[in-house]
Amino acid sequence: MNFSTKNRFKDYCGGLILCGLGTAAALQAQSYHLGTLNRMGPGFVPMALGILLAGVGLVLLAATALRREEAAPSGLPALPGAAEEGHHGPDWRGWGCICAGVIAFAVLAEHAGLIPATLGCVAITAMGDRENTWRDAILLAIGIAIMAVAVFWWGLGVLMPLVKGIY
Amino acid sequence: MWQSILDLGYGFGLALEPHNLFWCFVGVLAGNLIGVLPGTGALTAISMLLPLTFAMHPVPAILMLAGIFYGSQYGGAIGAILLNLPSHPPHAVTCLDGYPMTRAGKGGTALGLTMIASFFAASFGIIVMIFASPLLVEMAFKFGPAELFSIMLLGLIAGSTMSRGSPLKGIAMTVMGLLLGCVGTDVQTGQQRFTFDLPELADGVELVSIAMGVFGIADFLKHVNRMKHVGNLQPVKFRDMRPSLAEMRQAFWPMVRGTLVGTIFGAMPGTGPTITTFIAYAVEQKISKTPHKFGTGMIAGVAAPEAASHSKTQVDFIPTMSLGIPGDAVMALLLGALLIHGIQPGPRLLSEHPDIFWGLIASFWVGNVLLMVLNVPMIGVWVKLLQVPYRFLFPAAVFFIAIGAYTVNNEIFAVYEVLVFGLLGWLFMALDFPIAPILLGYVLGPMVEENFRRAMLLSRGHFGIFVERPISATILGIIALLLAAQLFFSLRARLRPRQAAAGTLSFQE
Amino acid sequence: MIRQAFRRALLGAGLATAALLALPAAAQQAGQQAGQPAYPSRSITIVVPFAAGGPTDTVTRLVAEVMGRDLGQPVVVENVGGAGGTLGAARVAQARPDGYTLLLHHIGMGTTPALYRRLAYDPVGGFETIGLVTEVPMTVIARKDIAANSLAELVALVRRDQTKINYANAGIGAASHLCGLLLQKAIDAPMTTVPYRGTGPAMTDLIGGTVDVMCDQTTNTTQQIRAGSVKVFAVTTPQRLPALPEVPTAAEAGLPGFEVTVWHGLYAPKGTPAEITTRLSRALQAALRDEKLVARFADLGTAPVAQERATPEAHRAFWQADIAKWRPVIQAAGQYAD
Repeated sequence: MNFSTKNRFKDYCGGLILCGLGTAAALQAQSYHLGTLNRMGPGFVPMALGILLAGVGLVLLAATALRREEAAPSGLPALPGAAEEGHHGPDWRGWGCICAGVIAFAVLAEHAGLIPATLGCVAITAMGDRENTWRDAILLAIGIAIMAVAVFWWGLGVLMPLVKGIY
Repeated sequence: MWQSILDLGYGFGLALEPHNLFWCFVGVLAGNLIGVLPGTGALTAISMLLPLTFAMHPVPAILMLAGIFYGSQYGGAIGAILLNLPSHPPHAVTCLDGYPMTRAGKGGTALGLTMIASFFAASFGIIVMIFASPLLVEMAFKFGPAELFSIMLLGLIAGSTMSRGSPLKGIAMTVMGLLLGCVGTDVQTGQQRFTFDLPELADGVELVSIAMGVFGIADFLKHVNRMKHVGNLQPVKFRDMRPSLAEMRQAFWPMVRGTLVGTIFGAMPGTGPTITTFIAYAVEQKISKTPHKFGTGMIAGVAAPEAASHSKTQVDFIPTMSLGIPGDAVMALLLGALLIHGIQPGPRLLSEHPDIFWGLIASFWVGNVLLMVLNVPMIGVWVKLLQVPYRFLFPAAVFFIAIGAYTVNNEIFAVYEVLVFGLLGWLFMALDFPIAPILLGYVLGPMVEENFRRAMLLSRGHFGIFVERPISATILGIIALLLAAQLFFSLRARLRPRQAAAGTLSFQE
Repeated sequence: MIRQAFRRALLGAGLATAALLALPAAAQQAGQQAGQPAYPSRSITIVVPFAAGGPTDTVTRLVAEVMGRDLGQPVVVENVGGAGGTLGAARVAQARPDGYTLLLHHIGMGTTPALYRRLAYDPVGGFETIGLVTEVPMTVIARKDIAANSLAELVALVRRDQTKINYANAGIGAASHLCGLLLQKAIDAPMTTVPYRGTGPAMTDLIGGTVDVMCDQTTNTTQQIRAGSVKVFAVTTPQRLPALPEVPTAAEAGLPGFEVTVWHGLYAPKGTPAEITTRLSRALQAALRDEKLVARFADLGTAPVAQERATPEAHRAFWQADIAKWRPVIQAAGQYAD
C-alpha cells in the first residue's frame, strides 16, 4: 500500500467509526428525556453530541472521498531522535500480552491478592516483548512484586490482602 | 499590606522551627516521590497518610499534608515527560511536547525547565495568596453559573483546535470526550446516562483511568516490540541536562503567561487543574509564530502548562482556607484533615488560627525551595531511568498504571476502564487522530452542560442571562473574536498557495 | 504514633525511589500470628462509602481511631465512594460476615430504599446494625440580603413567591436535598430546586447571592453563619445547639415537626455473629465516651449519641423508623437517583 491510499483507508475507517459511535450515542440518548433548549432534559446534550459526532464523521468521509490523490501525505515525518526499531506490521503478541496483563491484574487483585496480581500482571505483560524470555519475565515480576509490597502495601497502606486467605 | 508582611514574618518563624521544617520536608519528599507513581497522586497519598497525623500537633500535620500535595505536582511531570505517562491528569498536556523532547534526547532539559517554571509559578502564586486573597475571594463570588458556562465554553473552543493536524479530527476527538463526560448520573434529574446498569459508572468514568489509558497504555500498545529504549542512548553529560541560556529565554514568557493563566483559574473555584493546563497550552499555541511545531517538542508547550498547574495549585488554597469551601477533591481532603485536627477553615481561620494560616503560607515557599533543591540533582537520576531497556520498562509501567487506577477509589473496575481507554486511544492514534482533546472534552463537558442548565434554571429559561451579566458577556465577546480570527486566518490560508504544508499534516505521536 | 507516621512517610518515599529506579528493595514485615484467637485477631476495615475528607469520612476516622484502642487492633478506614454511597454499601453487604469489614454510613441508609429502584444488594436486609454514632444537626440558611429576618418571614416569602425562590442542594440524595424536600413539605409551598455537584459550589453561589435558600449540616454551615456571610433561620433539632445558642429551633420558629438530622450508624454484613456485633457495639460505646472524641465532635458542631442508642437494637429501630419517614416524602417528590 502506498502512502496516500493507506491514509485514505485510515480516514475512511475513522469516519465510519465516528458515524457509528455518534449514531449509537444518539439512539441511546433517545431513551432519556430530551426537553427543549431552554429547559433541557438529561437527554438533550448526549443527543446533540451524538448527532454532532456522526456529522463530523460524515464530513470526514466526504472530505476523504473528495481529496485528490496527490494531496500531501498526511503522515508526519518521524520525530527527531529515536527512530522506531524492530518489529513492523501487526504485533498481536505484544498487544495481546499487554491487554492480558491488565486483565490479569484486575482478576487476581480481586480474587487472589496483591502479590499474585503483581506477579501475574508483570510476567504476562513482559512476555509481550519478543526479546524477553520466561526467565526474564519471572525475575522482573518478582522484583516488582517485592517493591509493590514495600511501596504500596507497607509504605502507603493500600488495603489489599497480600495473598487472599493467608496474609 | 504592612500587616501582611509582619504576619508573614511570623509565619516564616513558625515554618522554620526545626520541628515544623522537618515535617514539611518529609511531606514534600514523600509527595514528590509518590507523585511520580502513575495514578497514585496526592489524593491517594494524603488519604492514606492522614490517619498517621492524628497524633501530631495540627501545624506540622497540615504542613506535611500540604507538602505532599504540592510536592506531588513536581513529581507528576516526570512521568509525562520521560514516558508519556501522565502520573496525574493535569500533566497530560505536558506529554504533548515533553515526550517528543525526551525522544529527541532532551528529556533532562525539559525536566530542568519544568522545575524552574514550577518554582517560579508557585512563588508567584504564594505572593498572590498573601496580598490578593480578599480580591480573589470577591472575584470568586462574581462567578455564577452563567460566567462559569461562558469561561468553560471559551476553554472548549480554544482547546479543541489546539492539536496538531486536521482540525476536523481534533473536533471529533473533543466531541468524543464530551460524550464520555456525559456518562454517569445527571446532576439535575438523577437520570443515569450511558451507565448500562453498572453502578461503578454512576459517578462517571474515572479521569485517572482515561488519562493513563489514552496516554500510557495506548503508547505501550503502539511501541511494544518497536522500541528498545525511550531516549537515545548517548551518555548524557550533566552540562547537557541543564537548560541553556537560549532555552531559558525561550521558556520565560510562556512561563509567565502560564503562571497568569493558573492564577486566574485558581481564583475560580470548581475549575479543575486539568482545564487550566490545557488552556495554558492552547494560549501558547494560539499566540505562537510557529503553531504547527507544537507537539514536536516545543519548549513553550512544556513550560506554560507546568507553570499554570503550579500557580493554580497555590491559588487554589485561597477558597479552601479563607472560605472553608474546597475547590476540588484534594482540597476537600485537606479541609477534612483540618477538621479532624479541630480547626475549622473558613472566614475566621485567620483570626482564630493565625499560626496555621501564616505558617502554611510560609511553609509553601520553604517547601518549594526544598523541592527545587531536591529535584535539580535528581534530574540526572530520572534521566538514567531511560537507560532501562524498554522491554523491562513497559511491563513495570503497566503494573504501576493498574495499581494506580485501583487506588483512586479502591475499585477494580477502574483497572478495566484503563484497558478500555487504552484500546480506544490506541485505535484512534493508529487512525491519525489526536488523543489529547478527548481528555479536554471529558473534563469540560459536564461543566459546560451543568452550568448552562443551572443558568437557564435560574433565569427561568431566559437566554439573556449570558449577555446581561457583564463578565459573561465579555467572555462571550472574546469567544466571538476568537472564532472570527480563526475563520479569517483559515480563509486567508486557503486563498494563498499552500506554502505551509507542514501546517496541514496530521498528528501522529 | 508520630514516630510511626514519620517512618511510614519517609520509608514510603524512600522505597518509592528505590522502586522506581528498579533497585532491589527488601521489605521486612511483621508476621501475623496464625491460629484462631479471639475476635479481633487482625485489623478491622471500616468502609466509608464517600470520598475522603467529607463529613462522614471525618466522623469515621475519629471514631475508628478510638475504637481501635478498645479492640486492641487497628481499625482502618477505606473510602469506597461513588453512586451516592451505594457502591461502598454494596461492597460491605457482599463481604464475608466475619466482623472484619464494617460500614459507616449516614442517613442515606434510610433513604436509599426509596431513592434507588435497582440495587445490586439488599439495602435493608443486607446488614446487621451495631449502633448509632452521631446525629449532625442541620440549619436553614439563606443569602444574607434576603428579605426575611426570621423563619416565619421566610415561610411567608416562600408561600408568596413560591417557585421564584431558588433552593440550592448538593445533588440528589444529599442531606441538603432531603432537607429541602422536607422543608417544602412542611411549609407546603414549592421552590425552584437548583442542584449542584457537591456542597462547595452550592455554598459559593449562596454566599454570592445567586441562589436564595439552602439547608445543610452544621459541619458545612457553622463557619459561614458565624462569619455572617449567610443568614441563619433555624436549626432542625428539638433543642438549640451549644455551638449556635442564639439560633431558634424550627419548632420555636413556627414549624413544628420539621426535624431532620444527618445520623450516622455502624453496620456489619448480614449474618455476622451476635457476639461480634455486641463486641463492636461495646467498642463503639467506649469510643463515644472518649473525652477527646467528644471535644472533636463538638468542633464539628455535633455530639455522640447517648450510650443506650449505640446498640444494635436501638440502631435498628431508629433505622426502620427513618425508612418509613422518608419513603412517602421521596415518593411524593417523584425523585429517584437511578
